[in-house]
Amino acid sequence: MSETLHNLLIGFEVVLAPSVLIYAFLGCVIGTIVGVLPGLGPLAGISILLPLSYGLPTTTAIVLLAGIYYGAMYGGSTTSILMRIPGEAASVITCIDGYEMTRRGRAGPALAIAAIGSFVAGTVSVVALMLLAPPLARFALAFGPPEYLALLLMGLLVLAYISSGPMPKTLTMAALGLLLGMIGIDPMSGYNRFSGGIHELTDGLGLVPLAVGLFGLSEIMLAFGKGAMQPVARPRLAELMPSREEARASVGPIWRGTVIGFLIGIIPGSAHILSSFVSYAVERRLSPHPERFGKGAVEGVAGPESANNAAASGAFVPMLALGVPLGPVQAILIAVLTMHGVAPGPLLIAQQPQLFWGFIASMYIGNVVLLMLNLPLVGLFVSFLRLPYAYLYPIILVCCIVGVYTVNFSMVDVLIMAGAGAVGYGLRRLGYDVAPIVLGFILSPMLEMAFRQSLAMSGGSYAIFFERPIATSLLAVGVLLLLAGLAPSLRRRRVDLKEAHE
Amino acid sequence: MMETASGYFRHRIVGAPLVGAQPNETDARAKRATTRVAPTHRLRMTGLSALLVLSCFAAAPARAEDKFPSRPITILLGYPPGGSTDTTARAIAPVLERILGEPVVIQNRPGAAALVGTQAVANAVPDGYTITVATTQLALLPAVDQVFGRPPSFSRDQFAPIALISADPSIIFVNASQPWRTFQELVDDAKKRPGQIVYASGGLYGTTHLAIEIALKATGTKMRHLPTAGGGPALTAVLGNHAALLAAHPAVGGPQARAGALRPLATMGAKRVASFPDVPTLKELGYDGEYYQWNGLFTQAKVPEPIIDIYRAAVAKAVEDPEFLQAMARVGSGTEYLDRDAFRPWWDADSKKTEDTVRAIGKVQ
Repeated sequence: MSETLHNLLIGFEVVLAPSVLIYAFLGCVIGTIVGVLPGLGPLAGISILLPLSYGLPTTTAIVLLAGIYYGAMYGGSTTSILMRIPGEAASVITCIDGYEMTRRGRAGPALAIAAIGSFVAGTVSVVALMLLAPPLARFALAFGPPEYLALLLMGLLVLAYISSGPMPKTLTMAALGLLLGMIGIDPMSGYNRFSGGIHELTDGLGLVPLAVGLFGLSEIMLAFGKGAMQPVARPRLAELMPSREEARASVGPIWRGTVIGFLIGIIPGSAHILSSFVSYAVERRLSPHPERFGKGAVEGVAGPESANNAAASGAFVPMLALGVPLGPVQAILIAVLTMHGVAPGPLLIAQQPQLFWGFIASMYIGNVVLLMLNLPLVGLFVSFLRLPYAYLYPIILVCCIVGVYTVNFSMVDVLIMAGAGAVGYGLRRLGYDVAPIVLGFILSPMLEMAFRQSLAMSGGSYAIFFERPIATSLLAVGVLLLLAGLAPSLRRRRVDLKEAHE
Repeated sequence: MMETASGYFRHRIVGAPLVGAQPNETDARAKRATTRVAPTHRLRMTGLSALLVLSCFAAAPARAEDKFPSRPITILLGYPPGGSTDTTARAIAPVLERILGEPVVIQNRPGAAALVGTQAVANAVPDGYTITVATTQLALLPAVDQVFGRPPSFSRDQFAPIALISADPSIIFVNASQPWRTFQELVDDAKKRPGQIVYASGGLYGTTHLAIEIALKATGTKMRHLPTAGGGPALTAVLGNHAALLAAHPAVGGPQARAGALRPLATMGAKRVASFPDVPTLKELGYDGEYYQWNGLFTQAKVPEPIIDIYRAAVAKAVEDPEFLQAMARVGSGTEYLDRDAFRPWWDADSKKTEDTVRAIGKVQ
């Protein structure tokens, strides 16, 4: 323990050097901007700004890029809450209750809770990262395709809690999402599926264009359709901070979200996107008033926003402890290390203590900087809502188009966003909720890949799912959760039948 | 330090408008701008200065013809930042910029397994201002199209080689907990239980897939293939022992091998790899399986010969530049320079091997 503290002090010494500190700060600022701009997520932000880091010393470069990464994770919720436009993938779920809070004049508290939750989750995760990185990384490696599949099947259960609409409609939308997720090249056979000869579609529809269209554009179109255009209650400046009840209601979700997010973040693959969905489902399940979810429940913001920031830190565990990238952002950071002549591998912590501890220290500082940056900005962001819609909506539209275009410099992405907007508008007019589409879309390629990879490993034998302890226990837990979820409705049916009998 | 950083940023801005537009659109835009600016200026200016302005416009094209390059050059890449074509391009770009005296801008246009960016290079105006750092994808993607009976998106003869910049032999690594101490033990075991041992790759028909398939063909063995979503996930699968082996770039597997997590069994080059002096080549072991992960500089086949010669001379100088050599050493990439005349037959042979292997793999059921 004293050794850890000593190392941490070395780390702070590295980071508090003015030449490094200024880049940590710069990274947080750029990241916040990238996160706030709709469509531009952490991955796009880092890829675009990567060349900036080549001329910098290694630690400075990593501190800058990591700052951009978690700055974007902080900032991503802003447009979700204010305009129902997800700034990045992990903030999709925040659109639901965050935007409802805005409509009820609680935009300030929603933004403040998101920032505070992110701060708590970020700081706690750094402590966990610092103390537990090597053993946790070995645990992460134990997750192969069969374990991943079992986990994702549990992810499907989340569907039940994601929408307040009737179950048949939710499942229809989830199925639509699962189908949309199949567009693109088949990773196991190389066939182009449903791509209609358009090269860009062989990579699949992008999550960000789809989510921005379904949530954001459809909202703008609905607002125009209503004619009166007065869906949002103008917030009073005095109501920027959460009320006592809101603060109290957020404590549990923030802690649970932190644990859920950190654990999911460690697991290989793109599961970290799921962390916010899982947290939302858990909060809704635990809440004594589940009916408030979807109507501006502060727990629906606090939990997921904490979870996605904890997941962002958790994803660094295998990268730092083992030198393996578990997501695309970490892959880029590993490339940066390589380009600076640092070999990322299991010996990184031992061979490059300044780098590792400097990085850890920069995350502590980054979290504080981001909280100080984001809380005062709440007032500024909320005041955007005072703009007349005639100015606000065109600005949002332009930001969406530019943001989505910039990620791949692709017009196809912009058209996907526009199409998703039209579809989202139609579905919402018909009373369908679009959130299950997004969850289905995220799960579908991961489920398929994990399932077929498992069978490729076993030579086609399904026994592989029952021979591996982690996979088998996860599947068993999934079945139990499913039965537990079904039990009340089965019991109700029995009661209904009995009543009908009498 | 700051200068370098802001320099890159400037490139980004210079390059930005080019990215979305077709290169011929950009040309048209430049022409429109010329015609639009000239008349307004002529109205306002005195005869003398108008003459001066006009003479400038008249002189510009003439100068452009006898001096190449006279405007920024774009290295358009099919792969995202951080990959090996990208790191190679970023190592050579500043040096080329210094030698050629014009900015060299790097643009990544990834998508559809490099098809989007590669096709954009193939279809760019052949004026020499669009070059690329490419690898096996030039032969691979058309061969895959052929396997699926699709019309090819581009063909290899749309490209003109300039020089080979780097080539690293693939190394076959196994998880350290696996029993095989030598490559021969692995081959013997694979012969005993064909199709049972699992290898991981970064994706179907990718370099890590082809390398193992070539080694399997050379040794007459069969294994199970676990495709993953990239080099990182393939490495993770082997480290977690979900697959037993993979073929990887020395810089990817090296740190894991030094930490004792992976064991290198054989390298696939003509000679041993400097960072792994004790690991034999397949050739030494009596198997004819050579495979390299390489990067070469290309432009379009229609680019005039004198311009290609300018690039050849520039690259010949660049590969000896200490700045370039340092950058390559940092990413752990072996510089392997071949000028166009020597590179062309090398590239033809490598392409044939790629095409044959893709055909042999065929469609995966």
